[in-house]
Amino acid sequence: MEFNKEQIVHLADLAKLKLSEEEIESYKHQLQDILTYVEKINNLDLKDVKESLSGLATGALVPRPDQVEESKSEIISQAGQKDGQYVSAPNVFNK
Amino acid sequence: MSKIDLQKLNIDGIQQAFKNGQFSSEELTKEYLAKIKADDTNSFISINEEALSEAREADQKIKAGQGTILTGIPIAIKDIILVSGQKATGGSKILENYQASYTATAVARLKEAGMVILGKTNCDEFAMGSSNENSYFGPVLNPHDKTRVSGGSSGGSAVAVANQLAPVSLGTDTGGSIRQPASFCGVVGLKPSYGRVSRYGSMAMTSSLDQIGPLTKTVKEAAYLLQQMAGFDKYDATSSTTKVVDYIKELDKDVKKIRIGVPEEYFGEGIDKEIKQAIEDKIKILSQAGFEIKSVKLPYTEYALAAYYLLMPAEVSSNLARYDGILYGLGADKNLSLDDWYKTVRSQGFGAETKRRIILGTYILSAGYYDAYYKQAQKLRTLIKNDFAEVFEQVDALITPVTPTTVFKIGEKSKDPLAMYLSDIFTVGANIAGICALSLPIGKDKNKLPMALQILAKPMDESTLFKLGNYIEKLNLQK
Repeated sequence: MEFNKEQIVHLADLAKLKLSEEEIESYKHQLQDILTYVEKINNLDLKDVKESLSGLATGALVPRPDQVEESKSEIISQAGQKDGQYVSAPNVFNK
Repeated sequence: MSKIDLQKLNIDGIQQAFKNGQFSSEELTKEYLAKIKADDTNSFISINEEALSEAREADQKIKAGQGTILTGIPIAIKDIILVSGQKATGGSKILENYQASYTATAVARLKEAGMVILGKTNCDEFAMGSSNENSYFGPVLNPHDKTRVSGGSSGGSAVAVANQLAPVSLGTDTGGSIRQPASFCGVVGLKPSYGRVSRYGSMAMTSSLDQIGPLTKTVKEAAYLLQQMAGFDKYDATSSTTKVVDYIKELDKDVKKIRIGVPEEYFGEGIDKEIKQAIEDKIKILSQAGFEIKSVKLPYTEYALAAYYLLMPAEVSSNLARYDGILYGLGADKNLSLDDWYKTVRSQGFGAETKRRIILGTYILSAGYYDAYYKQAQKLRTLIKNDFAEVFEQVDALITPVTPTTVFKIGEKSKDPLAMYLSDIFTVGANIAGICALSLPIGKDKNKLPMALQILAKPMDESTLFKLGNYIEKLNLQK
């Protein structure tokens, strides 16, 4: 798998990152090396193997009952921009 | 009051000193705070301003006869773990001024027992790294040789204990981040089984692999800490309901019945000769002492690192999507469009390694590649779990190296990410399989650098790690 500059720029865009020309170039090479290394797993025939989501034995992860506890003030206490009880965000529609 | 000898202090010793009136928790805490202030290893990011009042409260508790083994014991906490009211930076610029709004369950349980929080320790950004060189706050220096790294990502926590800045500390381990710095600094480090300790309040890096664990000078202290932290937590749906046994009561029971396995794949090429020799010497002593030792195979070992570097970046890219500067963290010019705001905040706030892993993870999870990479890695996880499960039918514990080399110099591996990743080769397997693992110091090499061995046991069997680790530790002292 070969990375080209456009791919890196596209991935950065998906991940909401803005990269410099230098970063794009260096990541291209580094990610290439890493990907070449991890591709060794393609040597294995995993067709009949089931996926494991974690190290825990398969068992139901039962959600806890939905009990509401008031914590809004703590949650918004660290927001950079607030408007009274609300957290304010940059303009969504302005491109 | 005579100066307290911090080097010799362990939890039992501290409790004895409290009992004898030799010093109080307040006096001990003051001593550690002074040492931290004078410290030049860069292990701490912030100090707890309430430490002395927490210590005084602990002293009251002890005086009233309500103290337990952990009451009044100071502890340092990795800055990726939240403590309400204190800064939690995650080693990152993006959270440089973030103040935690709640306390991690693991820490809350320790506070309930009366432990005193000294401060938050330096770590690789969002726990990503094997040297602590990825911290926004600078690298942590290894007290054994200050031109060398501390190891990572829990570098600050490891050095805090190694350099007598705290008797014990907490770190997190996703691919070796407790065990590797512990081995590089000559302290004990425990990665509990996945689900043994609640992850609530630990900034998520790789949700299917992360675990909080203790770093200490002795195995028994790690057991004390795990005893208090372990157990199901309703706020962590991945925490296990498996009962927590009494680790201390079991510590000396039936130790020689532990069947030991030595996996061939962990003793191949590329391991420092001195480390290999030191571990083989220990195994020989155990054999002579009557332990059953056998050679075992873990055939998927060579694929563990590849699986890790697929699963981990994928989950990282997802977990770090929350850092967008709106609810918390670094902000930007509020006149920017939303898209530009996100890009500015995240590009300025994240370091190079973090960005690298996010991009890799985004690629792994993207349409057209998800099946080829992420799904395959999940399948590999099954095979690696099975490898260990099969081996643990034949033996109870495995002994392996922790790292292929002793601690490297600052800057030595930082230019080559892949070389840095390869140093995790012996630690990642335990995370992927969800089993428990202990890093135990076994002396120093000819350059006076710490060496360690790793003990692995099956899920939820930390008791075996403590029993065998405690036994080997006593052997070390006899030399």
